[in-house]
Amino acid sequence: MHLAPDRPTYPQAHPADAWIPVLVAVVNNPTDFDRARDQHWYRIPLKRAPRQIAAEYLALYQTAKFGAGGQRIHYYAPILRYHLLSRRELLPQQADHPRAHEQYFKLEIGELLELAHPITNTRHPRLTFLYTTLERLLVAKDVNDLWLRSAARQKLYNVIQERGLAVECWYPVDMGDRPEADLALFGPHGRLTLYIDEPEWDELDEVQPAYEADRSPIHLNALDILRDPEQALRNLIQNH
Amino acid sequence: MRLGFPVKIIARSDLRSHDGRRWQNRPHLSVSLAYVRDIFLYLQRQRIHMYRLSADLAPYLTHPDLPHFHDQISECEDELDAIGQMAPALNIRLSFHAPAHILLNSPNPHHVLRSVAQLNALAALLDAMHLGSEAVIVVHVGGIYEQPEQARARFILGFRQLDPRTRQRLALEHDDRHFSVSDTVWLHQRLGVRLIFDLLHHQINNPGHLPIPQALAMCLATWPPGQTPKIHISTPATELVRDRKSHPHPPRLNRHSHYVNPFTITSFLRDLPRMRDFDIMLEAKACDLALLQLRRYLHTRAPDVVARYHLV
Repeated sequence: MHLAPDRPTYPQAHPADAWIPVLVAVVNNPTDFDRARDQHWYRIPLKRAPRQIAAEYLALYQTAKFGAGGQRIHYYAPILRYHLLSRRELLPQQADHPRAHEQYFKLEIGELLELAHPITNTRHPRLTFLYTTLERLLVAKDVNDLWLRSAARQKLYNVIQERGLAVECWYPVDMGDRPEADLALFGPHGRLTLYIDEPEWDELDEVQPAYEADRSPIHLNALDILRDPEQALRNLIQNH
Repeated sequence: MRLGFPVKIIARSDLRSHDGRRWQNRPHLSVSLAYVRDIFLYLQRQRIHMYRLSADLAPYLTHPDLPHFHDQISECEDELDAIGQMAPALNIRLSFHAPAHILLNSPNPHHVLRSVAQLNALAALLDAMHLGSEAVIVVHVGGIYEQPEQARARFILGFRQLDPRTRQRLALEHDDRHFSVSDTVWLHQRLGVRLIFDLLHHQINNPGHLPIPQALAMCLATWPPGQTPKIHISTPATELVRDRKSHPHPPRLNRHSHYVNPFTITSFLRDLPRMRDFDIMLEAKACDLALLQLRRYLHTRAPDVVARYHLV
């Protein structure tokens, strides 16, 4: 497919654009990185695509195969188009490849933009896809900072403490989806245990908790907390 | 019976309904379709089987001053086909609702031409997804202007300017101010267009005092056999509204509530005589959350309704 020659160069996004979605994807070989940089596209096999692929920006996590510059996110780019096509169409020079018939998403991207400082990865040896926001991407120092859940937990914890409520982080629970709740609030009528969900992790089938009210793990959306932690706390107190 | 909701995903603020970037940042239909794919997976998770797509799916598609956006449908043939296959595979019924500025009965011929172009574009999107005729585009009759009869007749002229395939996709909804069920039935008799019954609009604008079941039956009868009609249900907001000076006012009757009143819906469905099956688009401000709440209520407090209507 012929790509338009006059590709726009996007200015650095304003950090105030906090709710712009970013898909962080892995680049594990220089050929794929060169394609992203020079030909402005990135591919995701359809059968391995995450539940969320739609975003306004793509950030590239380069693995340890890139040597001293690896295990970091250096670059991101605006996503201009999504294509759905076969591997044969994607890589016509490999038309006889055994997986030539398999379907891929081809993400057509703009010019690569370099982060002011690279985002390192010190805790997640095997990173796959990650969904975050542009605001997080521009301020993160470690991949862990991109996880909206940890940022949301910290914000909500601060807001709850400012209200003078009893709260604990990483509270162990013997019932629930995970062994530790992100937060536990203690009040005169019992305890509320809270799980904070990443946007791509919506394990709840319904909004309501599945267990008794005084021990219910309640699921909260990390983006909603980051957007307005005060409101998130008000909703929590009002509804539970 | 399927329950559906329009456009916005309230439970997941990260799921966008379309690529809403401004034209300078080159938004594209393919990006919107990627969002739709993600939304479908969310709908699957929540067992929701009807959804109204954003009418802005293809950004600037018919904008007269931005011709480089005009070929998006042909540029996205494969992607539209994939979405069109995904929807029935997940048993999701899709539709559009024309934006309020689309007026087929406008006295301004240029405005009518623009409306025709936009409706043709929406129909082309559904055609490119290879969806059946149940995937409709809902429109209203339009404004009153000088005389209601003339305004109604002008709708016929505008309707006839549409592509034949667009006319087959249209479904006409009565409104809460100017054109009642009787007016839309009058238009159906002349155009054959299918009708959408809207419970709240009928409750507000019913000059002929048609009982609800009768008005509903008249609209359902306009759908051919083999097609499942759809209706719109909403309940009016009752919260006090404050103006800019903080003075209190009652809400407008046609203002949708955030969550539908479950007692109103249950009574409506229980009191209906036997009639053909239909799907319900819930028009509540809480969108998917409203649907989940109503469904939860129906399953726990009105299992007879769930059983009678085979609620999915």
